[in-house]
This record gives sequence, structure tokens and C-alpha cells, in this order.
Amino acid sequence: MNKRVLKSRPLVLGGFIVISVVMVAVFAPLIAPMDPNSQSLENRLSGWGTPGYILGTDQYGRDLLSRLIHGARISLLAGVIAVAVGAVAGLVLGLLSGYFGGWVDLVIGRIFDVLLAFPTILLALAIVAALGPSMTNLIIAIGVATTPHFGRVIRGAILAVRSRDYIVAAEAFGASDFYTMWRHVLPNVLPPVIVTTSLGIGSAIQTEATLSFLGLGVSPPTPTWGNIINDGQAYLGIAPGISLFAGAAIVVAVVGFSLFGDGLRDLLDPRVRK
Amino acid sequence: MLKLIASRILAAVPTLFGVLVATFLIVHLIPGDPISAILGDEATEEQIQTTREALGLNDPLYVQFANYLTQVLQGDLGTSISGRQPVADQIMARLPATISLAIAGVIASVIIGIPLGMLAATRRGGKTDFSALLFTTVGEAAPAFWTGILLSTVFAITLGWLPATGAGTPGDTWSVIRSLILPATALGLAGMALIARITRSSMLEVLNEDYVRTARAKGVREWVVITRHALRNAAIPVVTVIGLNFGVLLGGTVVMETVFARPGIGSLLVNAIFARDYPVVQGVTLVIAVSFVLVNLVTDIVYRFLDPRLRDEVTSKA
Repeated sequence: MNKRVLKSRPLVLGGFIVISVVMVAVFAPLIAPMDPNSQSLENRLSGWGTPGYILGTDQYGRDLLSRLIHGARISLLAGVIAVAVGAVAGLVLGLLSGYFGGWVDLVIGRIFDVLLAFPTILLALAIVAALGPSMTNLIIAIGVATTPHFGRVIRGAILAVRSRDYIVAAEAFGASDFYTMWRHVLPNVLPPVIVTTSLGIGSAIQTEATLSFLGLGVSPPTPTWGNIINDGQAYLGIAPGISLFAGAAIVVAVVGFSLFGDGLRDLLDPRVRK
Repeated sequence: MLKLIASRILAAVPTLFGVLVATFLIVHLIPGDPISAILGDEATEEQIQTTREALGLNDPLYVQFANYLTQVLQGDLGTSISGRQPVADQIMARLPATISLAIAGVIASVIIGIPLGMLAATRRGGKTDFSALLFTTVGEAAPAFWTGILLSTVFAITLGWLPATGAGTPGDTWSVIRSLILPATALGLAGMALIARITRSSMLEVLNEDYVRTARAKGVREWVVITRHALRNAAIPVVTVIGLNFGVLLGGTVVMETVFARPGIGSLLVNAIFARDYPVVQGVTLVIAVSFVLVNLVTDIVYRFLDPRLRDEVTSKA
């Protein structure tokens, strides 16, 4: 197993990026050279390489590198919590749907169909429109939009193991539905959930960035990668670095999560492994 | 074939009904009293009553939904609170700009994605294959609005080759096309990854088939083998992905219209969210979601029509 992990280039590279981004987010106050909100108007819109400001400053003279480092916290936190919300909801609904079948499956399946009928960004926008822009509502919006993706994956995985001998045996021994699902079904559907989680965090980071860019996510002055791009849009001609570096941070994080997810899939899915 | 189309349309009906319920619920999800959320605390009693009437909030919920359903089926999407215009008229006026952007986005994703996938498949395992993989991975990871900003900085602001905003002068085809190039390329770069990946894997499958080997053995030129023999047979899954991409790109136009200040239904939606103009939010959300379902439905039918195996399967079942 360990050899296979180390041999998988996407897993190692993706894992390295993911761990780096997580470390930056966790230790942001220690790593960031300055307070992300401290303004220095005489140094506003300095380009990259300015002494004291490696990546330059924004329109209020705030240090861009410090804002990007602190932005990693919010962007990653929003992505991880939103996907956790979607994963738990999708897991519960997918388990119920796949395990019980019949009308439960029909009703839950229809709910998933309806949620999937909205492009992710549109569903998130509609929810934020109703609930109002805030970090919590953004997480709820992305979580709801993510739920059917998890639900479908889990339902499919359960249908694949539902009629296996060990499930039938557990039921024959009189195990309750809850016990069978918890002890026998859940552990066998976890690999696809782990893969979907990794890929989902990348998409959630993108959706968070999009909503914050539109001004419907986390409000300024709290830095997120999305609202830093938004800040920089008005100064593209004189300080393109603001939007450029914030976008690059998103690209690196999303590439990391997607490589890590792809690598995990190769490792955990026996069909791909063969 | 008619039976197949009818069965797929029937299967989409419950989803469309669910979409109507979901868009209807947008106003009812607003925490507290939606009227005070929309108008603020300083609204007069008259304003409150007019808005309440406009949103039909005086009736019981099931009556409200029945009215909403009847209105929508008659093509009436309500009246905008801020503009006092019929929402359907506002959408119809802006829809062509959005549809043209989504179509241009799909064309861009095909123009970039298919040759990239073909190139990667024919140079499997080499540097070109790896570069294509890297390009598609980064293209997929970059948020489309950011790519749009970068393209705009280089080609509009710095070089001045193309317009940075607007949808061109109506009636002037060249100006409309010029205004489409940057946003469509940004959308295309986001959408090409899946097309390139599917083209690559689908091409790899058919390149090993006997008829490709036979064509090569007959001395047919490699270019002809790839385009006429391999690509044609690899096209079915690619067509499906293109169809599915169209729906996704329709969602992507929402943000792209904001970046490039294009007067489409996406920017209408974003402005309506800020203005708390809920009839417009409901109307645009409904139109995009219904279009998404319909595009997926057409893709599903075309896919089954293109693949003789699936067509036969359906015919034999029927």
C-alpha cells in the first residue's frame, strides 16, 4: 500500500499541495508578514518586488501576500465546511435511498434530480439571494448544491454492495437496519465518498471564489481569494498583480485537490487499479 | 424513435415540476418577513401592500403556488419590483445575448478541446500528452471569471485588440462577434477540459480497433485515419459531453456577463439579487434551470439516436 501511495504521482503531488495549503491556512497569523487589514495609503497599489511588500499592495496599501495567506484560511474553511455539510447530507440521503429503495429511493431521487437541474453556481446564487450574503449562507448554499453529487455516488455504491452475501448474512442474523448500514454498508461505500470529498473541496473553493467575486459571499475587509480578485478588477491596468496572484492561488489549491482526488480514486478503486 | 423521445420527455416532467416548486420557494426561504427584507424598515404601508400584492403573498401557500404555476404556464413570470416591467419581457430582451455567449462558449470549448484530445491520444505517454494534461488541469482549475479578467487585461486593456465590455452594437455583426471572443474563450477554456479528456480516452479506444489497423495497413494517410476513421467513431461520447457542457456554460454565463458587463440574463440575475427584486430572481432562475433540463434532455435523445446499440436496445424493449 505504502509503495503504491508513493508511486502515484498525482497523489504525491496533490497531497503535497493540499498539505501546503492547509499549513498556510492553519498557521496564517504566524506566516503572514503583516496584518492583512493594516493600511498604508502612501504605498497603495505598489507592484510586486516593492521592498517590504513581496507581491505588492492593494488599493488601500494592504500587503497582498498577507491577504492571500489569510485568504487561504477563509477560502479553505468555506470549501471544507461546505463540502462536509454536503457530504453528511448526501451520505444520509444516499444511504436511505440506496438501502431502503422503493418510495424512499423515488422521493430522494426526485429531490436530487431537481437539485441537479440547476447549474451549481445558479443554485448557490438562488440560495444566497433568498438567505442574504454571508459566510454561513454561502456555506449552506454550496453544501446544498453539493449534496446531490454525494447522494448519487453513495446511492450507486450502496446498490453495488446491497445484495452482497455479508449484508444478507447480517440481516439473516437479525441485525437492525441501522446496525447493518453503520457496520457493514458504510465502511464499504467510504472510498468513493473520500474521493468525491477531495474533488468537491476544489469545486467548492471555486464556487466560494465566484460568489465572493460577485460580492455575494464573504464581505470585505475579510480577505478571501474571490473578493481579492474583485478588489483588483478595477486596477487591472496599473496593478494587475492583485487579481493575478489571487487567481493563481485558487488554481494551485484546486489543482492540488483534484490531483489528490484523482490519485485517491486510482488507489482506492480496484477497477482503475487493475 | 418517437416512443423514445416521448419516454424521455415524460421522465423530465417531474423534474421540471420540481424546478417550479424550487423557484417558487425562493421568496419563502427569506428569513422573517420577505416584504421588510425587500423594502427595508422605512417602507410606507402603501409600498408594503403593493409589493405584497405583486408577489401574491396575501393568499395561502397552496393558492400562491397554484397561481404561480398557472402564470408560468401562460408565460407570465410576474412584474419586476424595481423596473415595474414584466419579467418575461426583460428576460426575452436579454436572452439572445446570453444564448449567443453560451453557444460561442461551446464552440470555443470544442475548437480547443477536440484537437487537444486528439493530439494527446495520438502522442500517448509523450511530452505532448503530458502538456495537454497539464493545460486541461489548469484550465479546469482556473475560475472562468478569473480567466476572463486575464484575457481582458491582455487583449482589451493592454493590446486594445478587442472590447473589454458590452455585447457589441446591435445589427453590426462584426462588432457583436468581437465582443463575444474574450468571454467565449474564457468559458471555452473552462469547458474544454472535459471534452479534451473524453476525446482522448475515446480516441485511444478506437485507435486500437481492427478497422483502424486495416486502414493503416491499406496505406491510408495517418491524418485521414485519425479524422475519418477514428474521430468519427470516437465522436459519440464527445457529443454527449458537449451537450452537457452547454448547460454548464449557460450557468457560467451568469458570472461572465458580470465580468464583461454584457447585458444578458446572467447580469440581470446578479443585479436583481442586489436589488432584492425577487420576481426577476425567480424568473431568471426558472428560465436557466428549465433550459438546463431541456438541453440535457435533447443531449440524452441525440446520444441514444447516435449510438445504434442504445437505439436498438430501446426499440427492442419497446
